[in-house]
Amino acid sequence: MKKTNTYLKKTVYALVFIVIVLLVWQVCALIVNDEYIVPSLYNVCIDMLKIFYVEQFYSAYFSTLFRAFCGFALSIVVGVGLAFLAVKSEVVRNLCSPLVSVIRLVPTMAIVALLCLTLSPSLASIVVCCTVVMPYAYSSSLTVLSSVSKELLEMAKVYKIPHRRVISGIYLPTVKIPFLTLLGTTFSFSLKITVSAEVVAGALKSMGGLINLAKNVYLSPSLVCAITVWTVLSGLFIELVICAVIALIERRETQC
Amino acid sequence: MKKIAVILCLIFCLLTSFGCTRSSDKLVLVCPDGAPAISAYALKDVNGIDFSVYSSASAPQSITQDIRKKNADIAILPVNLASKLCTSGTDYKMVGVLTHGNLYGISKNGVGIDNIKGKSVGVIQLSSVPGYTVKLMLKSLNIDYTEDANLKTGDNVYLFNINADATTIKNMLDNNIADLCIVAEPMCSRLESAFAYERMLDVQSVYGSFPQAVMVVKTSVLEGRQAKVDEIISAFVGYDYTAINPTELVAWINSKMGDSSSSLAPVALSVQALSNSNIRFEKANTQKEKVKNYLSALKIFDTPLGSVAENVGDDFFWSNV
Amino acid sequence: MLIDALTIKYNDKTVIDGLSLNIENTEKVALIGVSGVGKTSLVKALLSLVHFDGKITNVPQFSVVFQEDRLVEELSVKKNILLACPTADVEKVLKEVGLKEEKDKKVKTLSGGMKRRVAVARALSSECEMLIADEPFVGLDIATKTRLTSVLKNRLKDKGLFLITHDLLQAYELCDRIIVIDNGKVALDARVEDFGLECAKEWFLSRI
Repeated sequence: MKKTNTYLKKTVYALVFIVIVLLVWQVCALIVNDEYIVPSLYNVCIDMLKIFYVEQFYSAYFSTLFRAFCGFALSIVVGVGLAFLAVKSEVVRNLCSPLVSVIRLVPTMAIVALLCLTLSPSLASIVVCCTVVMPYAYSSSLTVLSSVSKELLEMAKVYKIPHRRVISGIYLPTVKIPFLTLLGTTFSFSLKITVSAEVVAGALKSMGGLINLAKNVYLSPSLVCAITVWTVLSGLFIELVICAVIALIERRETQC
Repeated sequence: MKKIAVILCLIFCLLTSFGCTRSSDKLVLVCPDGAPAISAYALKDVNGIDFSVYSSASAPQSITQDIRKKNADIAILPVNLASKLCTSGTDYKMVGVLTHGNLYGISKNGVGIDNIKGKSVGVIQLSSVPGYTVKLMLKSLNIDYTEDANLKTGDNVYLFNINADATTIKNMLDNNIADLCIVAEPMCSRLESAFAYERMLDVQSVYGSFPQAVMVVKTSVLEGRQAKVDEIISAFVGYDYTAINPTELVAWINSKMGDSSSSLAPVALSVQALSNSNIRFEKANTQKEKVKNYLSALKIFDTPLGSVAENVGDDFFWSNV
Repeated sequence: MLIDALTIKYNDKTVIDGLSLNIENTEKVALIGVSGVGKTSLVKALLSLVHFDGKITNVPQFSVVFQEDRLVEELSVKKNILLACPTADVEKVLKEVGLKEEKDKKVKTLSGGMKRRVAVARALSSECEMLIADEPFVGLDIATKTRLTSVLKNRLKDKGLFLITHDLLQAYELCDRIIVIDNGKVALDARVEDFGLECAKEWFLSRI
């Protein structure tokens, strides 16, 4: 009962926040009174619905999702893998630390520009996504993995628990939920970076490409906003799915 | 201390506001970097013009804002943009066409229009006017094209977008990622001379010259300052762009770009490059049908999400030229 | 088990200084000393969890009740035991410690005393020759303490016990031999039948 109330409360707060944002947006649109600078909520909503009838949108949307997923998967594999090695070995940790810092500090758009010299805009978007998201995935994974109690690992050593069971019995139960949360936030971050890279790289069949088209050719800021809102909602949807999965896992374990 | 700070702020605002006020005498001319900026060089000695050159990245939005807010008296801009912003001809009218197409194809392997089927062709700004023009050219020759690499066959042309920088294009051609790259002047001449690529395609010859950049002028200026407009047009007509000193040209453009800098380099602006850029002023009256036909052709690329161009009526054109 | 000239140092600070002991693998030994004297360090050395100088030979098969519970909170009681001892008779050992009904509950839902009982159950489940118990009854209520003491007495009849404790009474209840560590060395090593509880109390008082 208490948990249901908490969820209800969170949902209500989220809805209130959305309403406030929409109100502020519409007020700004009314004050500025210039569709080109602040498109009205109405026009953006119309464009959001219009988009569903355009075949171009679906190929762009799913292509972007696919690129974001590829970049996300790559960054998780590399980031989590490196984090696991860093937890096991101080040498690896000390080597990774400056490497990850450098990668994090390189300006994103500089990476895009460099990659576009040799890669197609589509591939460049994926690589950029991985480059930007991987340091985040690494740092977060390192924090999660480091949170596994050293005392538990000592216990495992004393009881001579095989490595596979240490992973399944100690690491997994401890890191399962934080990792799932990390996956959700990392994917929406990947989506954001992918779209940004697509805009700069000029990738066709992409949400970024559609934004460019809307901005430079159609001269439709409301369409730019509509595409952006759909991108944000997609990221939110993924995070909500992950939250639901986490809740399901927790509920199943409580019932067990 | 507070009072001193407030007074200083007020003085600063006052001083900067002087800088912000527009001189009512001078006409404001806006244009994007590239061929339009080169065309505007013809007016450098005409008194009473404030030039504002925008980088290619920001030009569409900046010029759109200048026209919508009527900050610009004169604008040199892509024809499709002009058709969307000045359709009715109420606030601005088209006075002339300044650039007539500067797209060329270069290849390392001798790929040209005759053997283009089954090839991969990189095109700058594929989702904009250059790309649409290339597609129109292919359509006019009944050559199918696709933008999906998986659908490339021996009977169609695979088109993909490339960034308009020499290193990317060189890489595309050297590594056979592209069999042919369609780029604008002066990039084409530069690549031709620097890396011994062959100029295999003149889009303008195959498709016909097309109105690429046009000049629009505020209606109030056309009606109230006819003499100035005539002076501007006279400066354009017959101007020999091939005689320009490239170093001075680039320096002039850079001086009009504020914080940005031009993508043009003096070394790229050879006589051949300037000649191939097809910059010459043609009066609106003589270009009416050509402009209308081209805009109409561009409309096949419209989608439910938006239009590439708008059809224009006679009111769009300034007839007193 | 033979401990020969064992020395443990942490950052130039000597915690155990040349300690030597001979403990039968079926002996029940209580190790007593004030906080910070090196009792837990000695246990860590026996378990090869810390670097030491000296030799430890004829080491028996250990099972451990740590000072902290060291249980995986997200797993159930049963899974925690099976994690350390896959062949354990979980039902039997949980019945002994009085947690049969909590078998499938997650450890994080249990009270402190219950968690300690799970830790003891885990230690008893493994096939060992000697149980190391590092202050196993700290913070527990009397009922739980009494129960666990009884369980240990029953289960360790023919096994060894290495009990770290502050509680003299507990040491005398469970063990045959008392070893007191002071300044990194053995200060007292006596059999329970030779050195009674009252003697031990006096001895400690004399050292204050």
